[in-house]
Amino acid sequence: MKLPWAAISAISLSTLLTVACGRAESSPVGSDPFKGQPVRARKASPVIEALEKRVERVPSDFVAHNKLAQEYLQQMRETGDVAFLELALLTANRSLAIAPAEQNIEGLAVLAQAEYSSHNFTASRQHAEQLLRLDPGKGYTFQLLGDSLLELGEYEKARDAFGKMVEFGGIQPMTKVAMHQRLARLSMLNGDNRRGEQHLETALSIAGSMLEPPRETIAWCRWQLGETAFAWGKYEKAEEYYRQSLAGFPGYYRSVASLGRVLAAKGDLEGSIREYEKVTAVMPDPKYIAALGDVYAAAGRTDDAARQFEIADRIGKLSNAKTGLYNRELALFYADHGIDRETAYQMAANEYSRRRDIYGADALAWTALKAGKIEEARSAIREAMKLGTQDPRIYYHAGMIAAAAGEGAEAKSMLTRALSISPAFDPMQAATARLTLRELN
Amino acid sequence: MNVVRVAMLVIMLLTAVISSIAHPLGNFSLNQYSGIIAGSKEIKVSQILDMAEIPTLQASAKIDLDGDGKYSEGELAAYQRSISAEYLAGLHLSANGSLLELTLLNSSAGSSVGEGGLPILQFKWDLSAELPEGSSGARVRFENSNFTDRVGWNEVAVDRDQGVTVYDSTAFSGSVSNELRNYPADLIMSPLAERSADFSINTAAVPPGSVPLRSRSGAVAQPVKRDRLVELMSVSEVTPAIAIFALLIAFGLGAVHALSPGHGKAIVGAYLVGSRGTPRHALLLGLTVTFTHTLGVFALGLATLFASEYFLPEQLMRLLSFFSGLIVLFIGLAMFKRRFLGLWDQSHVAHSHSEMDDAGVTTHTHGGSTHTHQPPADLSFKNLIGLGISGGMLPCPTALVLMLSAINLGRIGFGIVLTTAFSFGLASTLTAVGLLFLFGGKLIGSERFADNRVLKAIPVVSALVIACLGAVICYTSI
Repeated sequence: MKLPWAAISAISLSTLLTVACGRAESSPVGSDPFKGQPVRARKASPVIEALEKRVERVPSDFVAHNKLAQEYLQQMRETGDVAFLELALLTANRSLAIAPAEQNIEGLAVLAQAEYSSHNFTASRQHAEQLLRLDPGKGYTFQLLGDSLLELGEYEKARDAFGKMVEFGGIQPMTKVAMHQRLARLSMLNGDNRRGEQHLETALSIAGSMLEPPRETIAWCRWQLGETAFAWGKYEKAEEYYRQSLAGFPGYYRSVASLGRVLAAKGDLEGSIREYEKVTAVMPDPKYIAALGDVYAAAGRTDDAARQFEIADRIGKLSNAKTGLYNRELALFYADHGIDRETAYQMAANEYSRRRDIYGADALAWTALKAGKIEEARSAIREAMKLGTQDPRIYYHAGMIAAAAGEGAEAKSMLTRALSISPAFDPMQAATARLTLRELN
Repeated sequence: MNVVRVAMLVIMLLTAVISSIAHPLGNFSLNQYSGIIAGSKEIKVSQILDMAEIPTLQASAKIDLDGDGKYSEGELAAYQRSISAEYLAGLHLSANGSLLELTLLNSSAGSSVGEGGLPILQFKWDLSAELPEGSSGARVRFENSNFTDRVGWNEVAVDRDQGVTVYDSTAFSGSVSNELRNYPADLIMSPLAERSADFSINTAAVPPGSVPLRSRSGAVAQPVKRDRLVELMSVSEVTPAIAIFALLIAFGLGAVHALSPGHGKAIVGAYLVGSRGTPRHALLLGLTVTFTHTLGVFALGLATLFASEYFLPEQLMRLLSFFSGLIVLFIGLAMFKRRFLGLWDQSHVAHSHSEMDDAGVTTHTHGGSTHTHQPPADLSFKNLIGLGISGGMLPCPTALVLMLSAINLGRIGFGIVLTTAFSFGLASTLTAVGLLFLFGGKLIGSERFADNRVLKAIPVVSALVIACLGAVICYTSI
């Protein structure tokens, strides 16, 4: 009983203090430099600008720190700019330095979110568990916990956590949206794409009926629906979703990139190149740059392709030295293009030792195959397929591994499966799948 | 302590130069700075585009045309020319709603080494637009519509020339990032997203009810202080007349600059007075300072440019400062020891004149008086030069900026000549100050006071002062 009181009194005290300080610090008349001038945001958003001023003026205001960290995370989600992620982490940590987690539950929650976004899933999980103890019986704590458990590959525990999330629920529309987004993810991983789609559509309709529809959330749901459609080879539908997503949120980087991918799958290489060039000019994610390279290669522009591959490699290495955010992307890129096979394998193996999710197993399997470690590839791909996820890439990797292991029938069945789910799942790899299948026959 | 302040300034400047290499906004960022200076007849815009590692990498194929993996000056200039038209078209300047034509005065490009050994680029365009007649009271608008969807730091600053008033501005005066060289690191702060500025100008006072241009800290903005030395550097063509004129100005600036705090004037004075030097000594001291100072500027400038990968110039600065302090301390202590002993001897036994020093100061008698000038046994060339070196070892930030901008403009030769002239100016003032002290000292040191014990103690005290100053320099440099 002590804790909630402590938290409440601390928060109300700080609110009182900040109000008082705000008054005491109000500047003398006439010294406002922007009196009578048009208000213009000098920062990413007016809210960020106001909150930054606030924390500068009242460095002890942890509530403002928490809000600011949330805003930074939102900026990161909208632009993909990892600089905002670093700011969010910094701000959340400062907030907790001002007021410890016991009195600052919101600060701990935003820190856990920032850690999740920076792929520090172990820390995020620990902080979610701490939240669970400090603020028991809340849906959002289970959501945070489930998120990191899912990424760490603890699927049973994640399922339980999401179960609890639903049980405690919430009445806020955004809570419901977040809930359905998680359930969609869980369904997809378990191979139930139809249910996944349903959850996404529910999330989308709840978000759309809000008083102020959250632009980025809606764009994300549409993009995710597009991803599901794409994974099932429904390219027309996927393209429609991506275009809807972009109509609501012009330039949304995820949808621009995915539009590029679906256009390539439909054979519109020029259109695909246009979209990929657009997204890489704004958001040079090595994944997108490598994809642009693939499309260049498919279009016969070998030199341009080689240049993109080199850039992807450099960026990956540069970013990995700092954050490791693109570790998996880089390993898969190497394996896909048959470069630095041993490094790629080491990277994947290293990551899998810390984070045992099925996509980590898939990356390990694919890089192990390329590094000539067939047995390890076989056991890893079995891990990757344990949930029954319906992903053409996993089937393709499984097929190639089986082919290398001399299991012709298995290889044929897996490659056929991959191509029947999505005949053009990747501009380069789908062709390899088809070629291998022909050789097997 | 003056020397310390200069050292601090230099360190700050160097940090500014160095930190331009690290982009706090990440390797993805494309950063832009628009520095607007409102004049009475024209508006100048200094536009800087700063590309972090990844945008540079992405542009690499278009820059490195010969494919040698390096960006030559020619390649950079060609690339800048290729992007100029489109980039400059994205800058809009208008007065009272009518568009002003921005003319390109000068452009420059530079590359340096960023994270992971990858190159980063910086392009600068100096633009100017003529203001139409009767623009007093006009509302000016500037907008940069380049790279609006790209992440990065975007900053707009408005400043004013002498005699021009800027008011009701939506932009602040002064650059918070020192023109993209030094991003604020300590505060929680997201990148600036300033892409436009609206402001009014006139040549009279701020109209009643309007707000004068302010800096980010809220202070009313002062007119732009022109860095004349750097301006000398950036003339479009160097003719002999301009060169001579520039040399004279550089000399004059150096001379004036030496009067600002922190050029060891106190040490020079204390030394010369204490050791009863001659004008020749003052001159020698001046020359040593010139030489060391010029050399120091070159060395630090080059170190900053080329060797920053291997060590931090801040460390070098501290080392230099420490050594310079050590020299001063050593000289001071040595002088103190001799003089103190000398004072002791003098008061008990008649001192011998055999301790003639190599500077050739002779004993002589004044009209019947048996007094002998105390032989400045410690006024040796060694000491003089040591002191001169310590005085010139820490280069002035002004001179360093001059040298760096000379290198930046590709006018290294001119920069060297100007720096030397500047150093000469500096030394001439120091020499003059030394002479002043000397003559002042002579005045006091006339026979009337010859037996004054206090006066006899002056050399001893001055040696002590020198030693203390040296110790302080050493201490603050660690």
